[in-house]
Amino acid sequence: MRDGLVVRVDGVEVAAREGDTVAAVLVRAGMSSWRRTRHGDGPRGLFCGMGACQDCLVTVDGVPGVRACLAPVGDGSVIETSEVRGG
Amino acid sequence: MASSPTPLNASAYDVVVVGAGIVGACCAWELVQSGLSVCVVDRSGVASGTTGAGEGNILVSDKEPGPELELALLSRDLWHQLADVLPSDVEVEHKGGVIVSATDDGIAALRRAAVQQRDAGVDARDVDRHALAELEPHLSPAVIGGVHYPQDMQVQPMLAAAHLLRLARERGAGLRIRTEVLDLVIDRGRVVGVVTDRGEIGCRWVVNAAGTWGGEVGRRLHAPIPVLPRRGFILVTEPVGDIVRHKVYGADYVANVASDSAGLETSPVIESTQSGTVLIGASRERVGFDPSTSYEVLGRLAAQAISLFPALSGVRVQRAYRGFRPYCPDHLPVIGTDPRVDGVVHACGHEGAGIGLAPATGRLVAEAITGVAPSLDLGPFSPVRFEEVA
Amino acid sequence: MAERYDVVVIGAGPSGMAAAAEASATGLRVALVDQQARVGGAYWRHEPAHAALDDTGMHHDWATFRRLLARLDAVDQLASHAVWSVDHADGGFVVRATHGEVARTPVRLDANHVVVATGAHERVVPFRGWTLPGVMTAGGGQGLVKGTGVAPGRRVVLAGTGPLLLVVADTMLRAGVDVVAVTERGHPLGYGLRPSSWSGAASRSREAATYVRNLAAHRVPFHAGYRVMAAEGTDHVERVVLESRRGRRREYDVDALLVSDGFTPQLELLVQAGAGTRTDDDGSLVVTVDVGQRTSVPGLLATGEVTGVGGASSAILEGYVAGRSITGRDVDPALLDRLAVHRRFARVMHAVHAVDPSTVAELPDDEIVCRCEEVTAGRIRAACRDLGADDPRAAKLMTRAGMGLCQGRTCGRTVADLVALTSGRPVDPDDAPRWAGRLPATPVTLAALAQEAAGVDQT
Repeated sequence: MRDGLVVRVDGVEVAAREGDTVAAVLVRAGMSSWRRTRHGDGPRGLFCGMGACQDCLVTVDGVPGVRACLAPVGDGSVIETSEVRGG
Repeated sequence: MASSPTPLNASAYDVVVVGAGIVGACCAWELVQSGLSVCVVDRSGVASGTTGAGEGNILVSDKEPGPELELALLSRDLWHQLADVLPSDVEVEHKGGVIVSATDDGIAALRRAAVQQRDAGVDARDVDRHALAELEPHLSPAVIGGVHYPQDMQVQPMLAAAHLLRLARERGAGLRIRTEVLDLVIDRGRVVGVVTDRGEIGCRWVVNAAGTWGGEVGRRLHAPIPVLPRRGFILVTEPVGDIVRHKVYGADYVANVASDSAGLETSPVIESTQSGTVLIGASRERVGFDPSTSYEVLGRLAAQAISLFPALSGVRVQRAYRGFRPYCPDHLPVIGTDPRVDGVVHACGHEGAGIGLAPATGRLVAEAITGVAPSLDLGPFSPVRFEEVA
Repeated sequence: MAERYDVVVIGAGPSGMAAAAEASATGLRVALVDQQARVGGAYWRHEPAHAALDDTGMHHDWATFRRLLARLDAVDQLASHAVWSVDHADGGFVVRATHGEVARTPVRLDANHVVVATGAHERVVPFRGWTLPGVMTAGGGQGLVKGTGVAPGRRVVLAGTGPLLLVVADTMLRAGVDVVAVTERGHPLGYGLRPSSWSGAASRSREAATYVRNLAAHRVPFHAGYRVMAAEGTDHVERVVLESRRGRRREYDVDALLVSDGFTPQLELLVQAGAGTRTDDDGSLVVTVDVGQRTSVPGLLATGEVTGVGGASSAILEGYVAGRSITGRDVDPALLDRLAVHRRFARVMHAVHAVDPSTVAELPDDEIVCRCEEVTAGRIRAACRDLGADDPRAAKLMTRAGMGLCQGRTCGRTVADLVALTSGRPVDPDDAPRWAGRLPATPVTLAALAQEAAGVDQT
């Protein structure tokens, strides 16, 4: 892929582009959800896409609760999904 | 329905309780249990005052021996009993509290206080560093010891108030929110009703359970009491995993409550909730009802929390809010009949302990109104104990 | 150590860019702050390479964006800065932010003037299955395409109400997505029923007609008078069931459902700072401003959707006006007239695309209203019926609706409407500011907050 960045999603290497958000990388990889709610409503992914709803949270480089729709990826970003705090 | 269906010009109640917060709810509950007819009135909504801003503390740990501690011990036992009638939503937790210190002097002071508290009937257990690590594994290694108070409890205060009111209403009590008490109706030297902005309500007794507005309501009931606001901030974190297990306080929390300093005081008070959030307090300021934000306070609360639990450092605050605690000059609440007006009873001014002290307050109010011997000496809580009466 | 500016503009969408460009024109020191990685806001969300291109086929008014971008050379563009507080201090303002979605470095800016141009997020009226993955806002889906070139799905339905639906459908078609249907709650004929010359709708109608023609050319069905009855699927949306007012149903197989029922202006910083607000005719809380875009707080201005949902054209004009206000320069009355025309059209748009508050009556008891805390409609109704809740705050305290990470942004209006409907007490305009004044405006770490304390003993 052009602009070849390489990131890791749950341990798997995935190609990415300059300007990608974490959400873009996950959606391009075929994921529509990457976290679960605390009380069992179910999986969540992108909803508002602009940082308001706090649904799309992922862990990036060890930092939890990152808004995937806003966070840009860099070369070597480590993305971990299914993070639920207090669950 | 939001308000009782009883028409405004209804027949009289035995008691009108002013204030639909936790204290008013406990009063209503106790009065209904005593067989009296009650109507709870609030100019706003249920738990719209300080009850809605509280953490839900039911503490004996932070009280020095004296009338407030006695009230707290009685009240804590009543909360324990209330847990049986309240739904699990109310989250009554026998959580226990730990007061900790990072200095030898601090520990010594805690131990001395604990001795006196034990004499007064409090279960207070000295804990060393090792025992603390078992109680609170994530506590900073700088903390070297403390005292464990298994009797401290926690509750979700708004739901507690709301459910107690519901239970009281199921037993015939009325609830009229969005209704403001303006004045008393007095006939031949005694209360026969209250005047509200929606008409008169006949009653033989009025209970001033208006919390931080107890001073203003007292004035309207011709029985002024000096209740003033003391602002506090709370930080609410995002839901986190198992970091804090008990209520944890820094050693100078007790001193804060009793102090008379006009300026800002902060001390760490940290606890988790069943929803997974961590509540972080506590601050006290005498700034009237100033609702503005003090970033200095928020910063101190955050810094203190991190110093006790370093693991909280990267945890995010999702909400910071303020409340106004009702306090009296001597830091004791006002409970009991007012000798100046036959029919007025006070039940307010509980400062930061309103949730914890509410059931005992309700009990004492019911006893005062029904003429039963009081469970505690009401002298220290007298409405006319203050030197200057407006 | 804080950076000192003459003007800090918060929000780098069309109005923020215009305000910053205009304010910096006389040499004032200006910062333009945005939580996104590039300027442009939601309207001009773009891939990095697009900024250098004349035309991308993907953006509206791209020439305007490039013109404004060129005028921002002297402006400090602080991207990836999420502002969590605006506060008064010593005759000026303190703007607190964190830099970096991951790094979250605390940043403090001091400013003589602040312009809040934080735009609006989309409003979605809940329906059965709305929390299924693949169900997202129309703007969210569009942002993904415009910002990264990634499509939200392969087969999508667009639903809700508002001109944005047509625009996003167009974007999806350009991105090669199979737009299976577009549905609109109302009837766009509503525009036609109002004199277009008075409302300024003439050019909008032409634009809308272009979109509708494009849909027809792609054989995309457009259903007026339909709403989403349910999104269905196991782990993600697989099917959408639409229903008309007369009960007629249509079903489509999809892998994404894009919904939009209007906008909710993002007012938290303004409410924090004490600016006066009012309820606009679309039911949203907006900040009141004078003809110079000044709020009731001296030195604090507001532009764009936060003053009233009205679209990019009026937002840009307002930004320009604010920039002139700050630098003490007049505004050509003809521009103010244009702004007035835009606002008239906005009122028409609000009326045509109004969502009846009683719509929440149809929400089943077991459907989620508060996504963050997973609070159902039934729980909120019970708080009203059984526990005496008659305002959103009481409902929040008793059910946790609005107490999650988004602090009621997504569910706020639904909760207010549901509480009003169930309790019988009408929505009180005074309740809204309390709901909207979130502190911090976005979650902030305890470590960042701790920096606010001076000389605290850290032992």
